[in-house]
Amino acid sequence: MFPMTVDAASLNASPASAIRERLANRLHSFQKQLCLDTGVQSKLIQYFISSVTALLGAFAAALFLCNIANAKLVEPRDPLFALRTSTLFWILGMEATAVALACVYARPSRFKLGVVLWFAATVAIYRLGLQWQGVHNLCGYTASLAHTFGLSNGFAIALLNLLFSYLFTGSAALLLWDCLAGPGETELKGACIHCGGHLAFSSSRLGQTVPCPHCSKETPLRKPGMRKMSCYFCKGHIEFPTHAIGQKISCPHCKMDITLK
Amino acid sequence: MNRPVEAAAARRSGLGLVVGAFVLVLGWRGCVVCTQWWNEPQLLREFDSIRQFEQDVIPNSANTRLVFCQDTREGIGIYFCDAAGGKPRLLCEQKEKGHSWKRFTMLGWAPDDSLFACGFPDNKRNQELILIFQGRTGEPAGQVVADENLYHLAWLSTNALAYSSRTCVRVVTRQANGSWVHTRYFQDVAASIEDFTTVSASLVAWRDGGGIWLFDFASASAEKIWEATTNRLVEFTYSTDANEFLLNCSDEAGQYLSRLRLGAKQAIMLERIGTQLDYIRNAVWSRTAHAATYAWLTNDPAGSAFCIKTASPDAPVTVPWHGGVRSFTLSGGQLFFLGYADNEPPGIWRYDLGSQAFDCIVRSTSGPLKNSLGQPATVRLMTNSLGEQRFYHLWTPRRIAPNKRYPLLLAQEHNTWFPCFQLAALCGCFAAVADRPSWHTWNGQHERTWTEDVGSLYELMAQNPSVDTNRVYLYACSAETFYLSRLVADRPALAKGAILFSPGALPDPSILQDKNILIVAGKADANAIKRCPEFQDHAAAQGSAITLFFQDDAGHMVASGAAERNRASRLYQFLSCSR
Repeated sequence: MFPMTVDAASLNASPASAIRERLANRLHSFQKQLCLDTGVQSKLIQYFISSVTALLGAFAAALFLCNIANAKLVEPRDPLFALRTSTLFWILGMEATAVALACVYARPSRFKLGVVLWFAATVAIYRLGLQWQGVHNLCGYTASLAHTFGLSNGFAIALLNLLFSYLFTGSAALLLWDCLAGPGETELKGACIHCGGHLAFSSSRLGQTVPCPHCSKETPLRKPGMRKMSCYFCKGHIEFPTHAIGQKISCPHCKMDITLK
Repeated sequence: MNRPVEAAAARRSGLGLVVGAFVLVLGWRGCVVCTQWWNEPQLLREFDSIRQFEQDVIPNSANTRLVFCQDTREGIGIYFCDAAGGKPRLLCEQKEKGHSWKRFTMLGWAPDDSLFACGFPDNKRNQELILIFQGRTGEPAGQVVADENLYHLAWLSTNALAYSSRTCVRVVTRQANGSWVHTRYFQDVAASIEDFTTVSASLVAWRDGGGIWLFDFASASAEKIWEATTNRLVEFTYSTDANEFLLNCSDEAGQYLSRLRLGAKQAIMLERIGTQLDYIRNAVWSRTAHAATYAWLTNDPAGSAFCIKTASPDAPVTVPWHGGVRSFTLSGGQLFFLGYADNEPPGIWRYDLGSQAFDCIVRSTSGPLKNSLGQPATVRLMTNSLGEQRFYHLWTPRRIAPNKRYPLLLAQEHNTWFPCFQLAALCGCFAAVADRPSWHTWNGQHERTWTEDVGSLYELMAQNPSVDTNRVYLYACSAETFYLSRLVADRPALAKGAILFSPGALPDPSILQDKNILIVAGKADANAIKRCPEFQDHAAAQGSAITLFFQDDAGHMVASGAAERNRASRLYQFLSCSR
């Protein structure tokens, strides 16, 4: 038998750890590469979100219109929840509207992508559920939608499949890309150094100089923080957030009107 | 650009996209959908203005006044009018809401024409009334509540009438104070009473199965006086002047007339009339001579024709009629019928044997049709898979492009004015409708050959290069749906879809795949309310699109013009979407 000695260095240099290291390096370089494409990525996300907003808006409108047009018809019940198709269309339409509005009003792009992915995944899971129940052809449930728009059943189903494939793959791919590219952007608040006007900007733009939307003068985008000054009249200490620069307030000590600078 | 401006702009454009998408979708189709009530096709509005006729037209013995049954806006009504013309007067109306399967029973005129009566289903109280009116003015003269289901009525005299249910007979007489009350009750005197006829003030006759029965009110007993053995008794009439029955019988070769003197055991054959394709009705004895006068309807590819045999020894008069006939009544020297002429809406027509002229007494519309609803069909002859000959009516789309194929609607129906087929043609479909044989042969099995007729018609139409055999639709109503279901089960690939009105039976959903079916039924049709949604759920899971519509206020059979229009409108929309 040969004696074996294992030291710490040899442990660190084991094949598994080497692979881990190599992967970490590759991921890092990939992330760096992705970060270089942040502009392309954000534009893509913006285009995707815009298209999703429009598509979901149209989809919701189509569902609502279908329900209004076929209000007097008796619709079949779905085998999963035993809900009438019209009820499902109302629910789906409202969900689509909510997702479209989230795409308009929510700020973090990851959240928007996540909501779209959630919506598409919900529909996909529901579709799988129907498949599980033996429903291989959706014609029976989409006929009223197709008839409302004078389309053939097959064409309407193809359109729906295309829409949800786009939502699912698009949102999943962009979300993955965004996650791999690093931490998400956060919104920061600051103030113009000239006029004190409020500025909201993403963390990625910190340090850049931009024209102020209020006074049009070039101002650096700085991290928000607290500033200190003394009252002109009583010399009392006043601490305020930088974005409050330029505001007129009553001095908390002497109650005289002062401008924060 | 800084971020706030960017974000605001993005939000604005996003919101704009959502609003834009809504407007795009709603703008394109929303306007169409939202204005469909105002944008309804002209022909449907025109269809709504047509009040169709039901049952028979009943003239008095002098042919001066008529009683008839016609659809109203909200139901069905009994009308009274002068045969010379003038506006018909609505005597009573049964609204669609609460309408039961019972319809008005046209009970006819008293022997001296001073009164007439009709049965009225009073659904609010779940009873039937016999309403009696003055024969000259149409004013109400009395009423009596029938205590059995009212099937037939016969006037025994001006002051007495008898009515029958399926198995019972009642006698109602007028009292000194003018009221009408039940005076005699006879329970379970027959198995199934048909052709309830007055023989004398104390005798009535009826048909039960293949026999003629005589019932004597004095002895309260029924006696079978004749029975069909080698043939089938279609109907009979009795002449009090001649004291003879005129029997209208049928066998494999067609129909023929026989006479049977009261008290005799043997009927004497008079003459054979027509073939299997002819339909003989209202064979009556002439009052002026002991000779039979009768009328029958024939069909051939050139069109329909009435054949009228008068009391004269000459050959029957043949009067061509280019259109359809629902029912006809020969009375004296005049033939009254409900029907339509090509390109015209239905009406009550009269043919005067003396002047040999047709005239329309009552029209179902105020003016001529403007939207091709009266479009005439081409009549052709075919042989079904049983080897029986059938006429069929074919409506074609208005314009047929040489290289285009059009859907096909197949049905079997009576040759009456039925707008669904004209509507189908106006939607761009071929509509091929086999004539229902009972209309001509009166064999009592109305839809017996539905499956064979429609199947054969499909084979015939499939040879037409303009017919798209991948878009074949079947039409069936009520009991016909049983035969349609059978055809769909036998040949699932034949039809792309079906139109079922008030279905009594539904196809097996497990054999339906990728079918397109329209079902219209009344909300008061308990069977349909229960079964149709279940069928829809099962069929939808199999991938078939079932358009299911329940009509407010309607039962199994619809009565009002509004309900008919509603059905036609659904059919029009369905076929328009299925083009």
